[in-house]
This record gives sequence, structure tokens and C-alpha cells, in this order.
Amino acid sequence: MNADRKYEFTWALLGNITEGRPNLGHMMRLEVYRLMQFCFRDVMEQRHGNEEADAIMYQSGYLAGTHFHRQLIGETASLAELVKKLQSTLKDLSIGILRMEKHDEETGEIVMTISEDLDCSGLPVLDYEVCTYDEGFIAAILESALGKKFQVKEVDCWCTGDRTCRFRALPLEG
Amino acid sequence: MNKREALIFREMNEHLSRLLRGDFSPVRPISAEAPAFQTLEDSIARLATLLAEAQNFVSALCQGKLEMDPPPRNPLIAPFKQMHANLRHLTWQTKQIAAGDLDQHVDFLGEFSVAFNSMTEALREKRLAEEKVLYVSIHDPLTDLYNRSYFEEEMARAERGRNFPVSMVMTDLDGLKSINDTLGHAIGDMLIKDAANVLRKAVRSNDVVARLGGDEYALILPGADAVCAARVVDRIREIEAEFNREPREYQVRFSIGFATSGVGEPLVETLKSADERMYRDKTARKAALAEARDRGK
Repeated sequence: MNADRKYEFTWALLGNITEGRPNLGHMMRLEVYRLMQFCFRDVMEQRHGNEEADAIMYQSGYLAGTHFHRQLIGETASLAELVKKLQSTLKDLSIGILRMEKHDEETGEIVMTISEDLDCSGLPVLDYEVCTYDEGFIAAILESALGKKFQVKEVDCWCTGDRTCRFRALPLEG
Repeated sequence: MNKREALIFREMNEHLSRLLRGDFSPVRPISAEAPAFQTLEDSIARLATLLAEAQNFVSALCQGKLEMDPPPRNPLIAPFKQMHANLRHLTWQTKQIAAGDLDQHVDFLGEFSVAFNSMTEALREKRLAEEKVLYVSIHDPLTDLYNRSYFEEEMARAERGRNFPVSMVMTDLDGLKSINDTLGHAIGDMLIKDAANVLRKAVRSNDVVARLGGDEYALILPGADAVCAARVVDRIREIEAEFNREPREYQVRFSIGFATSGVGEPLVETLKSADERMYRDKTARKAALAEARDRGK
């Protein structure tokens, strides 16, 4: 832990929800999560511009993905095993329905889709992709599981009029 | 509406009629001189482009050309893109099944999902049945050790392999007949199983332990020279002694012999030498037992 920092993330910061919310429990309406996320985005964009806001969302997703992998996915022996574990975890936590579309063993390219995505499914059509947090999240999970860095780009999104979000992950050189 | 505007309207109407007939050829610009119609013309042109993209993509989809990427930002084909994503995922799942992962489950294609999941369930049951048949065919049912036929296959495999020297150990359980005659076959079977466990505990994971039948067991120790084989025999003796410290109606007592083969030497001969040494050990143990009995008289 860095003593100078106030908000350095650890999994323990998520707290003991069973103890803290004996009546309301773990669940809440998705709108509340989106309200928080899109207000964060709004303020980040106002203060830093939309490119920087997207970069912050990507980096936040990357941080979350790293911890998520460590805490909830763990070691996997192959990409197939990772996909299976990730699919069931994302579904159990109502984050989205993951489907693997492609793994090019030569180039290392991976294409996957997420339907009923926590962040964007049901949003108005905006003509641009919004799942930058998911991009970072997926990049971190692939890196943690496969041991190499990936750049992940959302190529289709609910917000571009598609019904499923599609992510293309390309391994970075070196 | 003046004559020019009426002409543009007719042209627009003609464009839309062409689209409805499935002709998605690019729209010929006509309203440059009438900016008020530009937006309408742009929309018709955009619609024509989206319909042309949709037609290409849906045709490819119908022909099973799943490798074709869907055109981006085309809301007309959103459900088809979802279908495309589902089919691509199904292709990935089928490849996983072909690679031996029968735990794939489909839950997004209605009745097809039910049929697909029934198929994988049937494949899982078939594999389990095959595994069971295979297990039974190579194991001794009483001890779960390998049986003679698997032992012989492994011996041939070891002979063809590169992991020499190979040591062979022959063991024979002393006094089984007497236990069967005096305490019954159920106790005799317990002795056979306990003896198997003693041997199992004494070997490495890549060694082969088999029950050849009756009171005979044999071990293949790949990559083990005579020193290593002697250590395995010592371990068997230690575990045997430990087992016999517990009070029971019977004790596990092995006669043991081993031999080591170098590259190119037939393992059948090595096994024969181990067997001869085992019989020498049995004779010596019998003599020692008789001598002890005489001393006790």
C-alpha cells in the first residue's frame, strides 16, 4: 500500500456486504450503477476531455480486471478453460453473457462478444462505442490468464445500433 | 410545388421504388440545385448503402460464410449480427468439443440448444461408458491394479522406449492358500487387496504395478537401474513391516526378486530372471521360517 494515497484499490475495500447490508443484501437496481458510472464519465469528460475520460475508463477497467481475475477466476490451464470460467462467472454475477467467436493461433487475435452487457445494453443509440471500461477489463483478464499484453478495442456496441458488444483483442508486441 | 421540385419528388419516389424492388444501386445526385431536398436525398442514399451492406452480409450469412465480418454501424442488420455472433460462438464451441471438451453448453438458440445439449450429454455418456470399458479391460477388478494383459502391453512399450535401464520386480504373496483354507476366501481377498496397496505405496507415479493373477504381482520400473530397484524393494519391505505391526488375522508377506535390463535386452528375459530370484527368495524365506519354528520347539 502507498501511504500517500487515499484510494489505492484493494479487494478488501469492497467490504463485508453480508454484514453491512443484512436487509438489503448484495443486489441493487442496475440504473443506480449506470447513474454513478455515467456521472463519473460526465465529470471526467468536462474536466479532462473525452479522450482522457476514455483513457481513464480503460485504465480503471484494467485495474478492476486484474483484481477480478485474481479473486474470482484464478489460474487456468488454457484459453478454453479461461473462457468457460469467465463465462460462468460473468453470468453468475449478471455482468453479461460472454461468447467466444474467434482465436487465431497464428496472430493471437481473440474476438469475443458480450450480450446484455452491464454498461451499455439498452442505452440509446449514440453512434459511438461506449464500453471503454470493458475494453480495459478484458485486456487485464487476458493478460493475467495468458501472460501477455493485449490491446482490446470494442468494434460493435449496443450504442452503435448493434445488439451485442464485440471486442477484438490483439496481442501487443514484445 | 414548381416543376423542378415536382421532378425531384418523382426522382426520389423512383429511388425508393428501386430500393423496394431490391435494387440498391447508388443514388444519382439530383438535388444539388435544390438544397431543401438535400437531407432527404442524403437519407435515401444512406438507406441504399445500408440496404446494400445488409444484403451482402445476410447473403453471406445464409451461405454459412461466418468468416465475413459484419458491416459496422448498420442498425438494419442488428438481429442478424446477433445471429452471426451466436453462430460464430457455436463454431468455437464445436471446435472445443472436437478437441475433447464435452462440457460445452448452448443456451441461446431455442430448440437447437436443447438438441445440441442432448448431443453433448449423449457424447459424455458414451465417453464415460468407453472409459469404463477401457478401465475394466486393463485393470484387475479385485485390487484395481493393472491386469496381466496391460502389463504385457506396457512391457512391450517399455522395450520399444528410450527409458533404459528398466527394472522388473516379481513378487509372490506367501501363505495365501493357507489363509484361504483356514480363514476363508473373503479374508484371502482382503489380503490380496492389502498386498496391492503395499506395492502401490512403494512405487513412483510412472512405475507400473500389476496383479498377474492369484498371488502374483509384477512391477515395471522404467529408468530404474539395479540400485534404484533395490531401493524400491527396500521400500516394499518397510511398508510391509509397517502394515504387519497392526494386529490382524493375517500378515502381508512377499517373496521378491528383481532384475535389470540394459538397452536392447528383451524384458521377457529380465522378467524371467526376476521370477527365478523371487523363487530363490521364497525358498530361503521358507527355510528361515522352518528354522525359526524348530528353534521355538
